[in-house]
Amino acid sequence: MDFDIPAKQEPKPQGSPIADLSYRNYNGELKTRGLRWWVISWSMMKLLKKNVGFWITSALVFLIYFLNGVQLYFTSNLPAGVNPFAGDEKTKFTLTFLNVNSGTNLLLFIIALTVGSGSISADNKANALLVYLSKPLTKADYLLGKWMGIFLTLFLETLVPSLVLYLYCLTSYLDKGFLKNDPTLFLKIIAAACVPAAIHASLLVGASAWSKAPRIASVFYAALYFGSIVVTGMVFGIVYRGDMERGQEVMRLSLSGIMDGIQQIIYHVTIKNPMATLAIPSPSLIVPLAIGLCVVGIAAARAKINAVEVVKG
Amino acid sequence: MAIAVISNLVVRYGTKTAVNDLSVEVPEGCTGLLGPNGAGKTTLLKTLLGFLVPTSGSGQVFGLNTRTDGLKIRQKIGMMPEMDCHIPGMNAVSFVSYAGELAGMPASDALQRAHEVLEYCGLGEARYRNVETYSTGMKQRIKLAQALVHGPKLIFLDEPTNGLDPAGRDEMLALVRNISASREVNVLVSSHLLPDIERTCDNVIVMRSGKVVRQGSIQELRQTSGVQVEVEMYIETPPFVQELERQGVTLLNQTANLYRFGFPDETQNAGKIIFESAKRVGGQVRGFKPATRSLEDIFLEAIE
Repeated sequence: MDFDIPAKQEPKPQGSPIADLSYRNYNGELKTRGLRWWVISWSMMKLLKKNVGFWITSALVFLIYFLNGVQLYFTSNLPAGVNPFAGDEKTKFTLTFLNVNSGTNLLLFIIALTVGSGSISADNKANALLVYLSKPLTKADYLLGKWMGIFLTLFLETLVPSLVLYLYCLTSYLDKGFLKNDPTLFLKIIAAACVPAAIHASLLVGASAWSKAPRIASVFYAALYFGSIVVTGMVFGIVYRGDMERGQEVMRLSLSGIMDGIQQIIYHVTIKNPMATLAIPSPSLIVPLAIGLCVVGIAAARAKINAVEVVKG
Repeated sequence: MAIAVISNLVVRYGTKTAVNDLSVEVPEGCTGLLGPNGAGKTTLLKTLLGFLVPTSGSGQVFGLNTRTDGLKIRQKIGMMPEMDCHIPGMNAVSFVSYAGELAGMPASDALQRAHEVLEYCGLGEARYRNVETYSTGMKQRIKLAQALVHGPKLIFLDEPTNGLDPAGRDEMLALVRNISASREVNVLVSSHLLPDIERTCDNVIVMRSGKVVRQGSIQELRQTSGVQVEVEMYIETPPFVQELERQGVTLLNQTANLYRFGFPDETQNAGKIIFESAKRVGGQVRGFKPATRSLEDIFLEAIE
């Protein structure tokens, strides 16, 4: 019997790779424009994860809140004769929150520099605006994203430890009139947390948009922040030397003074310290001043953000 | 079908007119935008993207108005800018997926697609490196990747081979060719490097001083008017040229022993005339073919 056995065949050499490496387009979902700013804000906050300086400063903020909590514990358990809040039992908790907000303002300023100085200037340096604005984003989306990135970081930096302190007070001092003395304290905490966050965010986006390096934006903003303290301090020293209370009002016109002043308006308590009694400032001057600063900062940033630099001539 | 239609477009920077009464239709496929520096190529791209507001005239991309539908247009377009650009502090995967999210892709899709396009653009091995550490060639590739991530229907490539070494240039041009060959993406390449356009594009638009001076498919533009032939002789043979000129044939161009002749009458048998003339003067014809123009000829003719 004759069997027809086929000859063993060599495998054919492959002329092309096994995988299809040709270009394939994406045909999936593309979301609407509504929350594009959030992508930018979230990305800014994610980049902070690797920033050691940010975590150290944040830890210091928490430490200050913790120390205020400890102070509150001791003062609440001290005999009436040596208790610094003895005469101010009704505003004790509100004053604690105002003091801790004021006490962390310098740290918030440092965090603001860490988050905000490079927010737009680093993009200017890396020509990243072309990447952003060649996507379906408007200048307003971009600016809002950057602003919210700074604002939310600073807002949470104040809000989260404040809420921890609030919960501590709620669980420990409910029987000592914590809620009864100031039922709206929770809302005041939220509103007060917005103040430095909004002012820093607005001014920093402006400073950052006009710089081509984060360092320059930092120096400019630090000069503005401390310069305003120095100038108002000089006016205080020269013009209102003998009038401590009037001088303190002038100090309220510095950047940090504006933030402290608005927070005092929100908490609505008078500060008594060994040097002077600080009455609740009139909102008619510092609130418009704060709003004006925010508008100037945002407008400056908006004027500078362009996908292409148009040289007219 | 045209993917972009521009009518009487005028773009001014202050008193300087960058684009002057420009009307053009960009066809489907891969189109090259050629022109000397300052011709208005980049201005045209930026106007189509909605970055610049035209002084007058109108433009449409995929039927969408450049003045009013900028966002919708940019959703369908990917832009690879000429200059280096990246998002500071990000590695390639984060950067490209972030670009996808900015274009509206869901985060999970953007991440998956980022890996895909980085692999496609040849950055698969370096995808977790910070973009700031990339070489010039890698930066060109990542710019292409971020332009492709959201699946655009049209990509603008502004000088895509800038700063690349010969091997990198070949690879970039092969990528561009491959993308346009997919038929899913139209490509508009702006360059002043003629060989790049010649290797990648089907059509070309030549600009000078803010105006279109020549447009069409490269194949059509290469064709010569009348009957033109290129003849390669063994050595330079002046009597051969004189013999042809005596019969009414014009010498158009000569480079050593390479001649280009124009025949006045299309019905003439050019081959017969050439070989008979060579035989008469004792010349030796080494090569003979119908003449085509190079893109360089077309470009130089257009901008003269």
